[in-house]
Amino acid sequence: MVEPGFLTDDQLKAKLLQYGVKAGPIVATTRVLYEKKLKRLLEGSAQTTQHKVNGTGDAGLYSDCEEEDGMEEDEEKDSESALPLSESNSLAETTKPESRGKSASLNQYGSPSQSSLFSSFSISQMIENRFSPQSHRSEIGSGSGLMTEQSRDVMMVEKETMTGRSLCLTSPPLRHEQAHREPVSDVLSEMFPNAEKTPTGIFATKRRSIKGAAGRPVQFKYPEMLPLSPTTLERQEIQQRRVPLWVQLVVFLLVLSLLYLIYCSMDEPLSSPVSALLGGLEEAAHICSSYATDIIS
Amino acid sequence: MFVYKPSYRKSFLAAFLYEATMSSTSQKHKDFVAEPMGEKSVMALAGIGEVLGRRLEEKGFDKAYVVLGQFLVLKKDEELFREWLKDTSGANSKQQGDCYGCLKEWCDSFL
Repeated sequence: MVEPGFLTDDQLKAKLLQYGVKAGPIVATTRVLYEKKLKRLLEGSAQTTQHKVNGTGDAGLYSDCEEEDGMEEDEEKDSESALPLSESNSLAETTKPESRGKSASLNQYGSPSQSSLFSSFSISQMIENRFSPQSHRSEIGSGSGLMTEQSRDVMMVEKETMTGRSLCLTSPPLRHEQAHREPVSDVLSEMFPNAEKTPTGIFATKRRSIKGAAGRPVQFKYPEMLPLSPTTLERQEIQQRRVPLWVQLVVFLLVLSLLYLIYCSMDEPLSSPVSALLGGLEEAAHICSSYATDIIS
Repeated sequence: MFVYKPSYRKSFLAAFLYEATMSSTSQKHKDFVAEPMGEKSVMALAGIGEVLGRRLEEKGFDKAYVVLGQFLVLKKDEELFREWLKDTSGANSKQQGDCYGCLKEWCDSFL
């Protein structure tokens, strides 16, 4: 692993640029910081490659096998710890040459009669493969005696072009099977002993209908759990809490009448301040005039 | 008719928080960014008090413009400057942020 402490300033700058960091001048005070940054980046990338190693075991099976080849090769070049990656690569790449060889053989089997047979069988293959890879071979044998091993392999390739995922999932166990050639017990017939064998080998039951499909809108099926937007929910909440208009009017009228009654029940009428002042002035005038008359007289 | 919606609560809270945080550019910050720093001491920087200022001075950063120099050499990068400040003076996150913001605003005005 690269030791940032031993790099020259230029080398440090170049390394940082590799990680997309445009470093400023590397001087005495900044060097330590940039070294730390580079260390962090190196550790970060090492951790991500570790995580990839843990995950590629499954990724080789489940991901789209056609694309993985190119991606993994790029990673190999970039990362410095090549060893763990190469192990996972070898696992994924062993499947590649085999499938490529078989895609070449597909071109030879271009007859239309076989292709129709392939299409009918490919669907059954997919259904049965999902159920159990071991019952697969016996089902094929019971289905029709026309199946040969090579055509089966061709079918694998055809499926690969259709859905790489299911192929990648099932191809490794299938290849093991072909190697062993053991008579496998039929799990399906064990589970359903009373079921009659169909000519194509397909045992299909109607799947549960999806709620909310056409003809059964969601609001009829689940009347209480309507999918509502937050604003409608808010509006509904407010509607619940809002006091109805008529109640407000009634309360207002009640209060008004109450006040009117109080006003009426008062002994003296309410006097305005103006009239009170005028009354005061008048009284004062009266008193003055009475004094004046007293003095004069 | 005024209807009090539950969502109003969030906006009140947001307004309150904005007020609380936005007005936290301190007086020190305002004073610093108001004029060229000249020969101001490093303790005039926002976020740098006595303790931190003394540590910086020991390391040789005795004036505010020297810290500015470091800030510029790090190309005004926030992450690097904060880290440098933490390593050099032991500033905590808030102090780092205050100092960075202060210098950044000063540069926006005067540089």
